[in-house]
Amino acid sequence: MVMFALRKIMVLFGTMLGLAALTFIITNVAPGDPARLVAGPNATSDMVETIRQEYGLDRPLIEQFFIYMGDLLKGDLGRSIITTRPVTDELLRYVPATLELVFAAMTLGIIVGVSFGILSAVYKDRFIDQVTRIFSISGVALPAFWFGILLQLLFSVHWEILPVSGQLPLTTIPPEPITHFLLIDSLLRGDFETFKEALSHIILPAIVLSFPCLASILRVNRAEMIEVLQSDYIVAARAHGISSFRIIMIYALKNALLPTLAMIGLRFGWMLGSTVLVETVFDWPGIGLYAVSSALNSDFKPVVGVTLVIGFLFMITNMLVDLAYAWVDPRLRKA
Amino acid sequence: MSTEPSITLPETPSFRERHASTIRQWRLYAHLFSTSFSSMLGLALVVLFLILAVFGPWLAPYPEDTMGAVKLSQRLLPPSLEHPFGTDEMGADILSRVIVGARTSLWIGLIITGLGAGIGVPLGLIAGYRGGFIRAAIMRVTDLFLSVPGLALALAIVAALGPGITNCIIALALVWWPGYVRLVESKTLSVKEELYVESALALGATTPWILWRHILPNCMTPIIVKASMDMGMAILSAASLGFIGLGAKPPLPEWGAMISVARSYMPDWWWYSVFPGLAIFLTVLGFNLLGDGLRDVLDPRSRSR
Amino acid sequence: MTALLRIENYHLDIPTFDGVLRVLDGIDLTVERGETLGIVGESGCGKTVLVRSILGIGPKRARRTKGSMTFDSMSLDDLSEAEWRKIRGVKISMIFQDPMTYLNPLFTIGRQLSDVIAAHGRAQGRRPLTREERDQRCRQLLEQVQIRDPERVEASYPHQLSGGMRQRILIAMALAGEPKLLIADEPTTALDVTIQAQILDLMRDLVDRLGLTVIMISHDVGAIAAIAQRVAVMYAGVVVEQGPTHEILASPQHPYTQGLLAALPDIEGEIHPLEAIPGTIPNLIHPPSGCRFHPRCSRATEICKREKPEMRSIGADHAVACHHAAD
Repeated sequence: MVMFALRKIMVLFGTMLGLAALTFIITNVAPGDPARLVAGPNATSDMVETIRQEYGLDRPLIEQFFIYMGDLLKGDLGRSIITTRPVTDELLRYVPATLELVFAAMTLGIIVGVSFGILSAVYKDRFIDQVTRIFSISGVALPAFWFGILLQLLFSVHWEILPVSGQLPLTTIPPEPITHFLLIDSLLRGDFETFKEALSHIILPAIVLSFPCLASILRVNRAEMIEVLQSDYIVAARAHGISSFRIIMIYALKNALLPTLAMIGLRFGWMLGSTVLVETVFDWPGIGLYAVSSALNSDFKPVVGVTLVIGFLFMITNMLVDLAYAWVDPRLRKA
Repeated sequence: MSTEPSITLPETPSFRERHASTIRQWRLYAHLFSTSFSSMLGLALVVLFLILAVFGPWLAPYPEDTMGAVKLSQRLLPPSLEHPFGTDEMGADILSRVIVGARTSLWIGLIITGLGAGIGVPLGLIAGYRGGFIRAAIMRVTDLFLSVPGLALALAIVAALGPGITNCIIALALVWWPGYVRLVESKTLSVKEELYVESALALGATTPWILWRHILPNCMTPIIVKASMDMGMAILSAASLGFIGLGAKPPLPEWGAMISVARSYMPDWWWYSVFPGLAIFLTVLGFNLLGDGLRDVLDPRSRSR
Repeated sequence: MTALLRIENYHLDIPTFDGVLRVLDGIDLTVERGETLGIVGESGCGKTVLVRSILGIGPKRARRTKGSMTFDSMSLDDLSEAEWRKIRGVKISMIFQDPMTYLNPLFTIGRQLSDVIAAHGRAQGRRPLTREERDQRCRQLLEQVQIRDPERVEASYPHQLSGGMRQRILIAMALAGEPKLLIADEPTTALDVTIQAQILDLMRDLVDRLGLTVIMISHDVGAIAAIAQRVAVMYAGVVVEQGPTHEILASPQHPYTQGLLAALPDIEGEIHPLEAIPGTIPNLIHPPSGCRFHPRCSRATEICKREKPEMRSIGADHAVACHHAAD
């Protein structure tokens, strides 16, 4: 198991390097002057030249690549043109908010998705199954930003029971950070008012973000449960007199879990990408919003930084899913 | 008198008899498909979408509004009989723009899916069939592109290329092709071990022939299912980029871009955001249901026994 | 003495897209306590559907249209899941053909066996067994099927064990509840020949020691001959002949049985060409009229096409369903 994990970590390193190379290619293969890209559309030609020299953009491409990789390994992702602060610092500031939102959405998606997937499989083709099927297919088709807007119209404007945007009301002071997660920190500091505020702010974006994930998990879990429930070892378990509850919840579920896990990993990735949409709609101060506002201002370095972070998080998730696979299915451990 | 041996020739089977099993198969497909409510709903939505896309300009009540109008006296009117979806900040009829937006979305979806499959399928065939170094190289690059979630990668590419609908399409096509490579590569790997490929090789078939005649047809089912689902997802992704402001730019009638502008008029003039979004939702839903229904019918393993 | 299992005039239909499959067309079988009955027939003759229906685990869409099944004077028709759980594994048990696919690959043997033991305890209304009691029973069961190192086996996963070992485990799981009737569905078909012999020996040993009643189905006549005292021959959903094994093997009366036995290659006798039975098994949606075997039978006459033959006794305990049996 340990060897397996180590090997996976090495693959992770390799892929990160490849990703860095990819971002390098994107920056340089794109038409247009890379110096101008970094300098921004408002720079004068003098400024562009200065940038060109400062960033070594007049050097041969290979040399530039090594400088780039060297910088990355040092943790230097360049500077934002708009704020002139180092990108790495800004990313560290915004990442916790995104992670908190994504974890909340993921938890919601898994709990609802798995349980309704099981129900749907066991009561196949009955009413609850038909309803969840349509629901789960709509879930993936629903445009996240539109859904967010609709929920805002309904809950914030029409009924006025939930806030429109942001992580906390403007007048609330966030608790001293321990984990940098607002929900956890406010609980740890005993600040229940802030906790309630944070909760009410995170509900809508978490629901919107979790929707496609929920829908996919439900579908995969349902499909896998149905298939597993028809397999021979389940027939044998029934023949041996094991109760239906045990068969479903323990035997069948464990076997169905694997593809569900894979879907969870995949959906996590989509979720990371969808943060750019959800954070925009809800003004959530995370890396998604950071990437969008930078892109709109032609501030390129932050966009690269966010892409690398999202790629990194996605790869870690995939690695964890692979490890989980081997843990659940003993037949894979030799690989 | 010579006796001729009497030969009774078997009757030539009719067209129906010769193709009896294929006919039955298609009858079964049609029956299974038509008995599924969700599949038929998907088909209906897609057909509606196609009708709007093809006949848009003739169906729109105010065709002159499609590329943006300047009728400021009529700006931001709520839904009414004359303007079922209301009007936008320039006075243009939103229903007309939504209808014509179908054509824009159709183009976008077709090009993205077409490019994605056009690049991905051949690469997948080669990778699966050739093996060795070529396969390793192709799959490494594919994995690399798949290491970043689609929308994030597309965002980065568009940020580098500059906003606009063309760049948006290029970026999304680049995000889409790896999926086809993966799909076709794994199918090719299993098909090339089949005996009929071996016998074709023994009879002297060349690689392009084998790929075209034996392997590709076996991949068609998953490709078709994926392509129909991808149409919907490509339209959604393009609309998402349009919403952020990096995709289609006004006055191009693209649903995502319309919602992007509509946001500044929230919440009082809500209809501006709601109706284009509804169009996106129904279109994507239609393609997803259709793809799902096709998969249920064409892939026997996923059919309920 | 009443028979342990009595199947009377059992008809089973399965609706499909192309029509209704008349899978079982009036099966009459009895199994006495302590005896081993073999059921022989080609694939598709309905033997698997029949025995699975005894345990209520047949195809979901199957419908009993006529007839009944009784076990130990208790009806087996239309039982609820809760009632079935008191029977499965506890009164009637089953072992299957391919032990690889019938064991859950993700759980250890010990875990699966222990769950079965616990389930039986619950079904019989006993107080739950403690961990030690369950472990002890596990060990006992594994030793009963002649597994020499039970600890190692308990900690293993199915894919780590050999085919013969897995089949023994399936047998152990089937016997956990101390059933009276054991149904064996092609238990040796997926195994190598040498292992087959071992498993058959084990089964014979268990029958002697535990006084089990066994129904064994197979298309391998040799396996049946090795342990069954009585044999029933099935064809296309009907029992065509039944009687003591040695008698049926020595002088089969039904044309199908004769054809079946004649088709077996004979290592010891003279060399002669194998005789195949012409034709294929019939379409069960539109089965042949009258006797279901008549299209392939060399002795078929008009009455065979019109009337379904009754099961007629032609000797002590030997019965045939054929219009021309006594000829």
